[in-house]
Amino acid sequence: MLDDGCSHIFGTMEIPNAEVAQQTSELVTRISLLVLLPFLVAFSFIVFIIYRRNREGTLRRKQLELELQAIRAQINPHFIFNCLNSIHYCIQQQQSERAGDYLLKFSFLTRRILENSSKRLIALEEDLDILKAYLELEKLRSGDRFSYEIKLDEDLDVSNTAVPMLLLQPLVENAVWHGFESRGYQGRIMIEIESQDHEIVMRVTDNGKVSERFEKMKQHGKERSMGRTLISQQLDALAELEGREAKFDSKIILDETGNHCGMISEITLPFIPQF
Amino acid sequence: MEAKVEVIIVDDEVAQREQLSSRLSSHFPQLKVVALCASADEATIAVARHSPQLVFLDVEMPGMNGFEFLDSLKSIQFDVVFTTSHAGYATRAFRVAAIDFLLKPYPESDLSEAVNRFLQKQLSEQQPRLDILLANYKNRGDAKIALPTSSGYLFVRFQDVIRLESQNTYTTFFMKDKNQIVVSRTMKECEEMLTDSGFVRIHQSHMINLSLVKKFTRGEGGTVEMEDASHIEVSRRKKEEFLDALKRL
Repeated sequence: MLDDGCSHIFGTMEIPNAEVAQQTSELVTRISLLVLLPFLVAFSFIVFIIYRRNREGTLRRKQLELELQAIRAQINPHFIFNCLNSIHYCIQQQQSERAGDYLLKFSFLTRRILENSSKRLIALEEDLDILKAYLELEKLRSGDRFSYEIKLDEDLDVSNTAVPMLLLQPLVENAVWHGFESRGYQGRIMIEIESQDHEIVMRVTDNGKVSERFEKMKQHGKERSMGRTLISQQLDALAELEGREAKFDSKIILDETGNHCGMISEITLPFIPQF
Repeated sequence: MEAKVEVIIVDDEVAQREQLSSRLSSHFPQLKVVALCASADEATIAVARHSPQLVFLDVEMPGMNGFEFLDSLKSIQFDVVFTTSHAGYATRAFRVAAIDFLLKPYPESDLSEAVNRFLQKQLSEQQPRLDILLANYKNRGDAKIALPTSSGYLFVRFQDVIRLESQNTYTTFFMKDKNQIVVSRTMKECEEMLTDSGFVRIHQSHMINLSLVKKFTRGEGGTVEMEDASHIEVSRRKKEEFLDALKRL
């Protein structure tokens, strides 16, 4: 059977008419190949470009997420040692009850931060709990030198709004440490969170002494700018990841006579649902 | 005069034992600390000698841990308040079995709450929940969860729960046998209990048992069909996490 088939093929090839036909078909194949080749090259090139862009996108995403992680990693030690210093101070002053109270609040706060530290974003609800714990800790440390209020927009769904953890902490810290320092000064911090068409606006207003703060800023220039830098870096990374805008701005508040009477900072970030 | 409640404290750290002991004797005259034990072995002897009514038990100890110690006893004739310093496996296990615990370091108020619950005999039906805790820990039989209801606790197997749906502060458990159990826990609290037990939160108000998914239809987020033919929406932000979990199954 097989032998018959082969001899049949070789047989037909020897017919001259068929040879011409074959040459023509070879020519057609060659021309069509020549025509198709540039398309093929162009097509593979496009596929390659898309592949590379996707890969770059994934890599950039991973890089941004790592950056955010690194930024947060800078916040934690800074804050942890501030707390430990204060606890140490209480112990040295033999205020054992206060040191104990401090330590419990610190332990609560640290636990919540550690539990959430691997997450890029957390629910605003959770974040506000942590921020409140931080504010309570600062209140204790400063001997109730300030009070605070948190105002939330009614339209805001705190369980379904995702934010970077403790984004506002450096602003609060700045007010508490440098705005309310002088004796007999009753500080006030107002934290407002609003939702405005697909954006979240976070505003921190304080009545801290600005001039003193500027003095302190000059002395501890590095420390102060670190807090603000951390906020900007986080917002930049977040904006790039989401492909949307984020803003951060601070202003000095003036009273009727033009005197400094506090600071106001505003952060605008894209609304990102948790679910 | 009423007889005092006899208490044993088990903790491998001396500072913890002594602090708890002095806190208890200064705030709760009804209690009498009869033994301080540094290990499970010491506790075994103390329990046999004193037959205490209440034991404060540390979970993490060298040698036998708190769970293994309880498991080694023929019967548990006392109530237990667990103490732990990690918010890891142990706390999830306590929540699943609806058992109180103290997260170290704890404020005075947490301790008072735990002692008062014991004194009001609210812990006295602790036995079945302790059994569940130990069974889950030892992987004996099917893992169960204790669901608090108005009349007590309902014990259900994880694998009989198809899905959970939240309504504000309540969560409904949809069971294989078509029963619905309403629990006064938020979805967030349920999520804390059930994560790592084969459940995944796929939506703000839905959590599902991964092993009982029948079908997934792609969409912006997508939809899952469960074994009871219910269709649940997967939210866009949870899709990736859900598909990852499905792959790992």
